[in-house]
Amino acid sequence: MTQPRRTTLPNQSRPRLREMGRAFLAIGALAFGGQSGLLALLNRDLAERRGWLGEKDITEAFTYVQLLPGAVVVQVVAYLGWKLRGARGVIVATVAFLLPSLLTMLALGVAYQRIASLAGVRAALNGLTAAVVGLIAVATWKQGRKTITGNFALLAAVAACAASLQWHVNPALLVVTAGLLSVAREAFTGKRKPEATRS
Amino acid sequence: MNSDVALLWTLFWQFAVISLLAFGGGQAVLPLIERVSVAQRGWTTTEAFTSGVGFGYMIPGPVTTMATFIGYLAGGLPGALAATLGMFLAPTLLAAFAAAGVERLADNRWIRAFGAGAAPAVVGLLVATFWNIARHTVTSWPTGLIALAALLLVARTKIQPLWLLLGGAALGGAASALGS
Repeated sequence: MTQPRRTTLPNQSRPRLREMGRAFLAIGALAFGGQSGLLALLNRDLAERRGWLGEKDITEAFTYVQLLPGAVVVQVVAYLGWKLRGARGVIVATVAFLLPSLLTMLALGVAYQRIASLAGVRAALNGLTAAVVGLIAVATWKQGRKTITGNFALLAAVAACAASLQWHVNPALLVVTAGLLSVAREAFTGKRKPEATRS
Repeated sequence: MNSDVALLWTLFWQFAVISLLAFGGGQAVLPLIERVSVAQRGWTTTEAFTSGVGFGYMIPGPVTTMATFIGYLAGGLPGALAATLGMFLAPTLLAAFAAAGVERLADNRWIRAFGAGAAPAVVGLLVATFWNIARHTVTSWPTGLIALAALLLVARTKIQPLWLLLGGAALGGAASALGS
């Protein structure tokens, strides 16, 4: 008899959905600090404290979702939700994880609509958005260092920036075009030198 | 079709498309959201968009939660729900499929190649968004200094964005109280 591929945990170590919901709700409320913050939190809570998963499962989740489109932190949670309890685990983990930030964001939206035009609030928001400019500059720089690894990537970045600023080309169109050009490049050059495109 | 329903549907599918183009992590959505919600649909202003980005960095969770913020400004509570669903449904499903091992989705050669081209394009778009935002928000000496100080602090220290942005807000308030 062939062994089926094990994609979820064996029965005895599966947590109950309610416990999972509570754990991911707490993680969601504390998930400051992007990917590295979440990695530390998951290792400490799910692996060390509860023993539901190994640190290897968590590292694997980060590795696999990295290449998919979407916010990595949510996708890591969805991935682990599947490992723990399959489809229902995905729903419980993702909803519980997102709930604290979504409710906070909703409250901020309500507050913004009501009081953003008051003079004092306006002044504070001017300071906040100025700080956002610094934050985005650094985030862009870091993202660039991670993804611009060759001439093709550099060209894609410069062309997308210029096309967006100068000719107001739709950014979605630019992302898709760059992706498709890269796929075409892989199709033409990838077969002869399969390792050349992997860094 | 009722125009409210039409708005909700538009919010849902626009954010769903954006979520599927977010190669290279959460902030990849920022240029796409800015374009759609400010220039194309007029759901919000550059100022509100930038505040939303700030809130997204301040609170726990990914910066993509700003879909909720934009959705609320565009269409109230139903709008927030529609935009949120649009933003998170597809990436969550993709991650679940990857976990289920559906033809090793995350390791697929073509997805990898697509991402290798799309992610640097996103960086170029982030530069453009940075420029658009900076033009609208850095309009005086105090805001320029706040932006510069924020840049140096994020680059050099491990400060949490929450404290950084609250500091910016406090300085903005103080500057206007002293200045006018």
